[in-house]
Amino acid sequence: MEEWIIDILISLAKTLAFFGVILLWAAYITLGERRFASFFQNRLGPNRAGIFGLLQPLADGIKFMMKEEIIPKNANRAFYLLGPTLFITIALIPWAAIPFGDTVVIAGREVKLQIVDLNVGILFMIAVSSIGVYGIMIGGWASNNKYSLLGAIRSSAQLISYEITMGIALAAVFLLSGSLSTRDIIIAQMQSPWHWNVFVQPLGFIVFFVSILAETNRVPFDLAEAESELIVGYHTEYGAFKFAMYMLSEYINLITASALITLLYFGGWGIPFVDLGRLGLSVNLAGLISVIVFLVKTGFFVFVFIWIRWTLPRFRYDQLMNLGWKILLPLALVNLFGTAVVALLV
Amino acid sequence: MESLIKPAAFYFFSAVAVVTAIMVIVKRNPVTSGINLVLTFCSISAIYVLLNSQFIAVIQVLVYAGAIMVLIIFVIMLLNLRPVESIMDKSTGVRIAAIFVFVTALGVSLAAILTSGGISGRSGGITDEFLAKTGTIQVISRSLFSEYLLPFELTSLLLTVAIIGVVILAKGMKVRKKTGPGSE
Amino acid sequence: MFIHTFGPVAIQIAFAIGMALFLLIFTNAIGPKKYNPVKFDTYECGVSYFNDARGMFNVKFYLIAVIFILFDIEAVFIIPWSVIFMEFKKLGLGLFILGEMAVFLGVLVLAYIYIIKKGALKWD
Repeated sequence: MEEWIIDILISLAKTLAFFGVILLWAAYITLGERRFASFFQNRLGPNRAGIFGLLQPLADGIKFMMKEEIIPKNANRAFYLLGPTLFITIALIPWAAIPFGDTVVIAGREVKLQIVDLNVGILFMIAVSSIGVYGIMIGGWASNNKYSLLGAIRSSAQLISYEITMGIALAAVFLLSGSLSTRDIIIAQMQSPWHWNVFVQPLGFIVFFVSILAETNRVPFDLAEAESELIVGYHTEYGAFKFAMYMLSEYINLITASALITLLYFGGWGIPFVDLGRLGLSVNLAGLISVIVFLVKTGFFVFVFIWIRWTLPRFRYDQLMNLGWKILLPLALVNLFGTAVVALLV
Repeated sequence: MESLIKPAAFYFFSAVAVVTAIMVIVKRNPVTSGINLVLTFCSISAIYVLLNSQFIAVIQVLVYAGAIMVLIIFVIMLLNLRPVESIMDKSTGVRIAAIFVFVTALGVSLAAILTSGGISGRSGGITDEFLAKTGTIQVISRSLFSEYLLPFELTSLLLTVAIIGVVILAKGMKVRKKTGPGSE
Repeated sequence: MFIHTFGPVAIQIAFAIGMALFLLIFTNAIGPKKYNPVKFDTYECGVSYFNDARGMFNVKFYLIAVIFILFDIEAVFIIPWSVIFMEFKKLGLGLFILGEMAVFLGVLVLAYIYIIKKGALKWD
């Protein structure tokens, strides 16, 4: 077989594995979220389907599929269907650049545990997710419902506002790594936990964390679906599996956000004070451990997002906009300049 | 193999770009036109990738598809523009002018292609090896912040002027602020 | 070379689109279909549907979108600068590149202060 065919086959295998893992994971976050919510609120939560309610996501999935698809008669049919389709497509693409582990050796060749290591890695992810806003705008507009439209507008204005602060906070990370490649950014933090960007630039981390919380439309920034005002916001008119597609993509975005936090600020697959390369493990075992470490860290941040959701109240819209434009934007610039000045002196 | 996939991909994305660009003009519903323009920008970005300009490709999506088109579609959606019957002036003078502009633009592009290294654009200093070396973000920033320093600094002035212009325009619009269901 | 970097991205995009279309079409096909005119009405909390939802919106939203574009372009210039910063520092040009960005941002900060002073970002 020619070389490139093997390469394409390997990357096909990686993509397939990714799709399996991410969909299962997103489905189980829906369960995790409800179980944790009930834990925080001192009740039981869904525990009937299977042991600990472990079959609940399956039951939900089947239920969503068996429901009738309804397209409201005032809606714009084509755009109504385009909304959720576009949203879930865009949610799945950024993972092409996320490294979920170190390298392994398969059939005598070194395989990076990452779908592709791009020169413009992080920027590719941001560019792709910047298109995701159309999924919300089109869905909310096509529904022709006042609540949907209000939710969609609020949401898009929020997404674009926090994209800038996120970009500038990221620039400070690029300044230290000198590269946009996700793998290079992790390797730059490998020396010790004190080289993790969260300790090097805590201010940048705070700005980035708040921005990504707003970008994923999570509490305290879930103005787009403020239940008390807007029913559920931009997907009010969506039912059956199209609603599930919106929900699934929001959870996939949540996992992406957690993975981004892990790789940008918490050293990716690095274990504190342990150098995997020096333990004398075989390459494949070390690779497997790195994947587990990365998934555990990402899972932890998913939990933090859930924790925040059931702990904090919601912002008011003017507070949200003020926070983004008048507090986070100057802070991000101060952090960038501070990092540059310190990097110059050291 | 690569010599086969690359031209195929080029023709595919060019076709998508041309067809969606025509759709932008032909479609009556302004939102459809907007979405088609987003698709045009995305396929142009794919063509940049084929030319090894990864950074430009990403910026194309980030700025054009992800920022400028967001504003345009925002405005189209929220002004509630109805599908237009026809806003075009179809008098003979306009038709002649349109044909003239089309033929001139086509002629200039054809002349540019024929005098510079054919359709692939590889001639003189621009070889595949040269393209492979450029296009990464490091190469672009190196020349942006040394050779092209003055244009870079002037950009900030341009942006400032634009920002001030926007604010002044918006101040003028304040009068019409409270109309319709969306005013909070 | 080319296939190694962009082949996988193309595969990922193709899979994502394929999956979204599959979910859309497959789930539509297996659901029940019983016609009832009321079911297809717009849902507005039980209140009868009245006039079109789409209308004029507060000018603030447009303003935010325009200002976003301008600051997005600013961020697009900051990112290449940050990537190349350390390389310039190693060449002994650290102060030079820092100064470049200071001038660039200095002008934009003036514009930012102007926006704030004019109350363009004020929500009431």
